[in-house]
Amino acid sequence: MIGRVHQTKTIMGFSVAMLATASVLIAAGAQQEKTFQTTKNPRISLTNFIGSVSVKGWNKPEVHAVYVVTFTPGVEVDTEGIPNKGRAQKLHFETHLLNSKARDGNEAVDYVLEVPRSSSLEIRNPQGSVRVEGLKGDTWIESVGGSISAVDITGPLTLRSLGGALEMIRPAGYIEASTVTGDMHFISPLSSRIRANTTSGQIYYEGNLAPAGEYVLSSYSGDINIDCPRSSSFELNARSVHGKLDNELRLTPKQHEAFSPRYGNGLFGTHNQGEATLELTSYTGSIHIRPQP
Amino acid sequence: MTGEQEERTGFTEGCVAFDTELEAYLEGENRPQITLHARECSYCGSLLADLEKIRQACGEPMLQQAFEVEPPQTMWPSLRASLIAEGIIRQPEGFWQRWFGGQASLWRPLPVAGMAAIALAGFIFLSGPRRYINSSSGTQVGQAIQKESLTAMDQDPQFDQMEQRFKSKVALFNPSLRDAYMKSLASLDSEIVECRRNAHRQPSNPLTIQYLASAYAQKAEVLQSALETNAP
Repeated sequence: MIGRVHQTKTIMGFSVAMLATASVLIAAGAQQEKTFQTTKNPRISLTNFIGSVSVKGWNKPEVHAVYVVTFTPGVEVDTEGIPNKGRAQKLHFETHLLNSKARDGNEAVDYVLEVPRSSSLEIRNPQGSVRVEGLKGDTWIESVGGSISAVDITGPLTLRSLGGALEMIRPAGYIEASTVTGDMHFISPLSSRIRANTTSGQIYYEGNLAPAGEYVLSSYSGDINIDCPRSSSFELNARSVHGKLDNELRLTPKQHEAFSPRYGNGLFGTHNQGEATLELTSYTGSIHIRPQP
Repeated sequence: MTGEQEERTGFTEGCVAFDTELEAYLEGENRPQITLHARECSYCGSLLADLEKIRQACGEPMLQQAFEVEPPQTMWPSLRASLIAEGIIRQPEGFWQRWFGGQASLWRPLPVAGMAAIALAGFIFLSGPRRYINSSSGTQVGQAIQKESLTAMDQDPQFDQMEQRFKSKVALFNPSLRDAYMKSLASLDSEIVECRRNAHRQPSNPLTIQYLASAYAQKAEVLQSALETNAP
């Protein structure tokens, strides 16, 4: 009798250990790794559902991709290089659900890509974060709820997220950014042309304005916060229907009748020589312009 | 523009000059290089052909009013999608896709007649920040179609149907995705309600109309995005 109990306990213990091992394996995910020889400026698209995406530019004419599938039975990653012989000009990465009905929200794939700096990039990641760094080709990223971070991007940059925050650190190319509820943060931008709009997110701009640059920022109910050096030189056109305008920089006001708003509040003038153009518009959100400490 | 940049973006110096001089050409100034370049470049040729068709569809005076102003950035994609859907213009590849986000997008513009009307209203009625303020002629043109356009948007059955379909579909999304969509729509609905109320109080306030048109366009894009997404 004692022997049978012992045997049963041993089997149960072994089963538990096997289950635990399997769980660990599933939790750890199935990591895959691929390298593609490419041109210097390939076009790369990536479509994912859930999970993080990280892309970094490097100087090699190849793409190195690591992806971790955390829900192995239901998800796979399709990759395709075009042309399929020689150096690829286009690369597609796509997360693919094997059974579209068997969805439980855990179908996550995390991607880490290293790509040529001049790559053109197109990323859709509705429910995960995206980080891109060190690229100089066209970069286009879209999410629904995920945050997007772009660091040292010198090429044109288009970022869109409904609810995720957008962060742009030292961007240098043309920027088009939009959110509905997500905040936007421009940190030390070098871009001379920025267009950004949000419905209820906050906009933070921290840095200088390029001479002859054009910056058009608008929100509905979110605040717009501009923190720039006292030495920056810009022409200001700020309007808000119901929001407060708060400027702490010396402004030479424009006297012309055309610059008197018929509705709401307006602030029009030049700071220093007025080299850049700064257009700020809100409906109920406040607009703050402050000198950087 | 360097050769490498041209190769990457598809633009040439001719395209840049075309872009710079297009407005003057459409206002009737003699710019032979516009037509010359349009014959050589398929992107710009397609753009010019589209604008000529819009000119015919809308009437020249209205287009001239439109080109006195800078449209809000969300206007053109919606207007263009509607015009394509109605067969007024055709879909070129490359140039506009690159500049106006025409890629197969989560936020594909909504092809409904009401959207075209309201986008056109916004496009004409609203102007760039420097120009709209005392632009009485632009205001008159805008007001002429504004009321009709806003009513069209409110009563557009396609818009209503989209909302119904959205409600069915969003229930199947996982909680975080559903939350992102619902919060965004709540924010846009709030904007629409407030702007509509203020538009009735101050019908000639261009900023209110601009925000209202933009909110409708964005709402349509968000709904369309949710309906098209395959995300779990």
